[in-house]
Amino acid sequence: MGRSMLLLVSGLVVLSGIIQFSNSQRASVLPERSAQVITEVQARNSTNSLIQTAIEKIRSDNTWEGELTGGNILPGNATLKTYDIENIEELDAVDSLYSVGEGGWDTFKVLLFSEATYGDSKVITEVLMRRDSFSKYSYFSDKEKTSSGNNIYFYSSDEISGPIHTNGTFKMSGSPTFYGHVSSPNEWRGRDGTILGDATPDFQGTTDFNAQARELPSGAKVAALKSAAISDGITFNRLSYMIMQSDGSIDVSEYNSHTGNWMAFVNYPKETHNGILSSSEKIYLEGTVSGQITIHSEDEVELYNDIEYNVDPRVDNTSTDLLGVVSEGDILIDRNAHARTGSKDLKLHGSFMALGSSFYVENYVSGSHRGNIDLLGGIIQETRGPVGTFGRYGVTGYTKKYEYDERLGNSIPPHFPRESVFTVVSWKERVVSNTSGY
Amino acid sequence: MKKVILMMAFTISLTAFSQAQTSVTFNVDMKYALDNGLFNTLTNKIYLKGDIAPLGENSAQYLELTDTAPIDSVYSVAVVFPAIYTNDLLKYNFVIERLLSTEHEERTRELTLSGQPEVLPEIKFNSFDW
Repeated sequence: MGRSMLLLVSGLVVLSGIIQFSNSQRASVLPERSAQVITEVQARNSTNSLIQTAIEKIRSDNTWEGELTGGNILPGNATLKTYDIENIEELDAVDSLYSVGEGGWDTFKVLLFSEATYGDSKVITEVLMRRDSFSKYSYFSDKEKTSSGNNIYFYSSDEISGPIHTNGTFKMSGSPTFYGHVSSPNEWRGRDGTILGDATPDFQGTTDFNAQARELPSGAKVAALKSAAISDGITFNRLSYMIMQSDGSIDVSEYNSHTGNWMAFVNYPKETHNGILSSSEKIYLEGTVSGQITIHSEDEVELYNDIEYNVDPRVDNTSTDLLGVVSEGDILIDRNAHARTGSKDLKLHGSFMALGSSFYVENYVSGSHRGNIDLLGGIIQETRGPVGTFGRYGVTGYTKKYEYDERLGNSIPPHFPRESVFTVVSWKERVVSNTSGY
Repeated sequence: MKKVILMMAFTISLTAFSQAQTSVTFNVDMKYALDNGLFNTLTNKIYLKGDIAPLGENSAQYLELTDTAPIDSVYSVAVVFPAIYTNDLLKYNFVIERLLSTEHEERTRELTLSGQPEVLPEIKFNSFDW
């Protein structure tokens, strides 16, 4: 009994000693750790402040580049420098964390590299920003009213997936369905001008009706596309009719205004056009897209028939077929396009950009309902154009079935115009103490 | 002096008449309405109203559209606007009068009078762009 008690007491004494020792050790380490955390937080705050300042500068002036320092305003010693394709090699000397991602470095990416030292701590923050392509939208317009000032609506049977944006005000009637993110600087309106009026749009994705306006591409960006066509692709200066072929070649017939006749089709193999065809005149377009192609017209583009990918990415996700159509005028759907293949519906695969000004259907007010526009890709236009009319007394034109091509989030047709504004692609941060080599 | 005044009057009248009047044919496709019992040819009438003479906003100034040969359910009316209105913006729309009620289009339509004859597309009554 006495022996057991002695052992128990001895054990308690030893245990108590261990606890006391541990507490005293912790007490000596805690202030050191706390001080380290404080210095890390101060350094992190400094890099984040500089990064936020740089992002604001880039968003207000998308050509801004250079260096920033914390000076006396921010704690510690903080600096920031921008890197792009021109000077990124200078950064390779530093143990950077950046990963440029798909496509490597190009003129549309910029890296903000900020480092701050406070006490024993050093923090490095790297933010990769990118100018997005307009092809990332399944629907984009700068103005929602027609060029004649009429309201134009999304209506009950319309179904649109993917990101859609207008700088104007969306008008709704009935219950159109939106599966993706819907954004605009303005709240949507019904036919009676109110939000809670006669329309009940079904927003299945997120919405932002206080979004930043997005500028359409400037002439300089379109000029870059034309210049790429001159150096790498093929250019035309007469009215032309282009039929894309499943082997990647394109048949082109040009109109001879002197004789008043269409000339015989000429086949341009894939290797000759390198995916870029540009014309100073109007283009009639149809066919099967194989590979990556951008068609550009300084005039307008008329979609004459179905335009389909050779390999549908919804069936085979390895498909690399991608089409961009850029018109400095309108893009119009020929009045008989829906009837040429015998189906009422019209298939359009690609991203269609009408800069001056609308994507619309020829003679959209007349006749009966023509079917659906089965779009896989996107429509970008300066001023919204109508594709039909609706009402109690009958429907004309097309119902919109716009399906987003998920690939367009990362891939773009050759030289398809980019946005002016940058978006943040990645934000990486690392905390290092001086004892680990800095 | 008389000759000068005469010459001036002649020049002014020549200038005025050199601007052509505008002839516009308005068309409304009522096929769907007829097929679905929304328009009764015996008791209903469709009219055009506008803000430039000879049209007016008063029902007495409405012009009736009719389905003339070929009978195809497209109701039409041709209107000649005087030359002085060339390049003016006409605001117009259509009205259906029934025995006990009148239905006005909700939207206002617009047309710039060009001085050239025009045949407008066959639109649906009270239709909206989408």
